[in-house]
Amino acid sequence: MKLHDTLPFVSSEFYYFIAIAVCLFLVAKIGFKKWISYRWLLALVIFSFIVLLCPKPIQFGFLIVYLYLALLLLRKFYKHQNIILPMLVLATPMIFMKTLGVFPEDTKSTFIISAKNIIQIIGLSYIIFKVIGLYIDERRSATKIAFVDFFNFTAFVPSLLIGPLDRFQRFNSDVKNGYENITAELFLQGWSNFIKGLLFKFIIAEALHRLILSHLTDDGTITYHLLYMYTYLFYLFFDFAGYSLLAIGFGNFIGINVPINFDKPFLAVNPKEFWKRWHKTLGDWLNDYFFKPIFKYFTTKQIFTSIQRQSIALFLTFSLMGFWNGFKLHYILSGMLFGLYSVTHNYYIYKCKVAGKDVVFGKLNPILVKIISIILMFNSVAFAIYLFSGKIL
Amino acid sequence: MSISKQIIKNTLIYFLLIFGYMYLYLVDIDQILFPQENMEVKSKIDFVYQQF
Repeated sequence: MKLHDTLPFVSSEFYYFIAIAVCLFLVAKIGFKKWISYRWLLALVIFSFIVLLCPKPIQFGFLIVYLYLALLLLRKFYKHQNIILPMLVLATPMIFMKTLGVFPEDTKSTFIISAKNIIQIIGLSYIIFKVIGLYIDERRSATKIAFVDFFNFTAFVPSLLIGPLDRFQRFNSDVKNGYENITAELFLQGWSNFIKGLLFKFIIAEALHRLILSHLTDDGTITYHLLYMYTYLFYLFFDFAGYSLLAIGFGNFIGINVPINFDKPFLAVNPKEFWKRWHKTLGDWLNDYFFKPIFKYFTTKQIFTSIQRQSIALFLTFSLMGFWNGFKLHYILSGMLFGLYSVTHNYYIYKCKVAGKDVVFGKLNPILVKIISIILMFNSVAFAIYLFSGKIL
Repeated sequence: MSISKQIIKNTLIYFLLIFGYMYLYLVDIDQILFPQENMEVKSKIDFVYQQF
């Protein structure tokens, strides 16, 4: 068994860790709950993962401490309405890490290599997103946030690597319920999610990769590009949704209702609905902590018309998502393209409202409209994800 | 969801899981389908969308 070399859900060691963690929670619920509270047991389990399995445990510890201290100081001393500065302070490690990502992997600069080695910490982006959400939600609250609760929330192992992005109040209410939340019903629900996650990630995504994607030869034909585009879309979906289901399942085993992240995304009829179905927790996060503040800012300053404000805020939000994926052209353009889809749909809704009728489909049968919309949305997403894959740029 | 639908769904999931495991990990189906390609294509490590 290798120490400090295990990412969540990737190696067999992690699955042993899950089994031990679940047994600990069950044993504590049955006989030791007076000896150790739920929140401390959760902290102990997370701490064990970091110390024994997580790569770069010291850097990870420093990151958590930095973010906690920054949060405390911002809550105490920063009283302005403007949230840009606190967001930048909290996001500094992520911005630094993304900037380093611009340099090629085979760079000879020892500074870049050392800096990458220090700052590339697993789950860094998701941890920072969670802390920014926590700061914005709690900045006016006088409630003290204990380090152990902050630690449990930010370093929660199941969702450490790629979400789902939880909210502090929701997460903490589960922690407060403690052992009461560990029920047979939730355990069975967790089992169902976990099995589905294994199927998605280790069978379907794996098969798509090994049997199709790896054997496609780029002969420059349109057939190759189309085949790659659709296969990559399904591969990404099953891989990502698989991880989310595994995370939800593990959370359910130990009494945490991790929010769902995917809900039949290929049935979405428009971009707005798509982001309620695909990586839902990120869509909600971007909406609450980026789109709404920008829109509010424009409204307060009375600049642009309402539709223009919405469109600019939408475009900026999705562009940010592109930058967050990495400071590389294909990520940024993919984010912008998703922004363009949303802006186009927003204008379409606006025009329909003004005209008092559907300006594109007219009086076409609603079922037919729905089918056409699903096909349009599916293909638009496939193209944007193809751009995201970096295959054409 | 009705019980019969639930049973069908679970049967399908476990069937795919067991057969998928057998063919992908025990039989190594890709080695049989593509014997001429002597390459390592397994993607067991890392999730595609993994972020640091």
